[in-house]
Amino acid sequence: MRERRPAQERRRAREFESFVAGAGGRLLSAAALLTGEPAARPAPAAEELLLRALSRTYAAWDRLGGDDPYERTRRELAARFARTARRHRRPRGGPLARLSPRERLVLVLRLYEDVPEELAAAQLGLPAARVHDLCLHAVAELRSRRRPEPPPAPAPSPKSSAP
Amino acid sequence: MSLPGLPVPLSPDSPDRPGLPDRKQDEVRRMLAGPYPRVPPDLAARAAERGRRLLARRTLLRRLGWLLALCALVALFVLVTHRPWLPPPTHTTPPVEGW
Repeated sequence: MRERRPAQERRRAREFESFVAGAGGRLLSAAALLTGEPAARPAPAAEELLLRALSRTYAAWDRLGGDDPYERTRRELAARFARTARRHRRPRGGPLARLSPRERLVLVLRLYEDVPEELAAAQLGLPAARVHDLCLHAVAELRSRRRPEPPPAPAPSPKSSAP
Repeated sequence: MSLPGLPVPLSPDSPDRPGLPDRKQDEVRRMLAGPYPRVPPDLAARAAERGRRLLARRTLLRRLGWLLALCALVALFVLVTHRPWLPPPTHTTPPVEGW
């Protein structure tokens, strides 16, 4: 048993490395959306968040038992972000920087990762209705930020614009 | 509209009710789906190293727990066999009375 351990560790390291090579980009992108960092520049807070989530996935690798490592890492990421949300309140210039950390978390889980509403609610420990409201609010907020004023059509005649 | 055997989805963004929220959400989805940031090349190695340390710490804690349990068991055994709460055996003969 003791001689088999290095072999098992090597196999785990190999599998883990190929998992990160495949899913790292998407996971880091989700993490950067959460921390509110822009994707174009290095995102140290997102990297730190992902590093911690990935290390926990690695530690649980042999006990995943058919669980998807991507889902596992996303769950760790969401849980860790929810615990440390205060640190990410300051806007950092990313596309979601104006939203509150909780709105970002709900938006990323629901729209970026397509997690079903009930599952997201269970993971966050919130009622599903609250998740729904947060998501709607975040969507409205983002759209209003993006297009502050719908460009008014050039009205040639004042008569047609009157109610 | 829905099949008789299937539960009717309730959320407004379900495919059964393609409506305004759906379109708005798709717009935000496109907004989120930007280019991926560059992943540091040593991310997997660093995470694996950290994960190994986590495992080692957990193993150590588990062993300490077992050690503690063993110590408690030994202490209990000693207490039960020696019974230190009983008075020590007397070495002097008690005074004889009543004859």
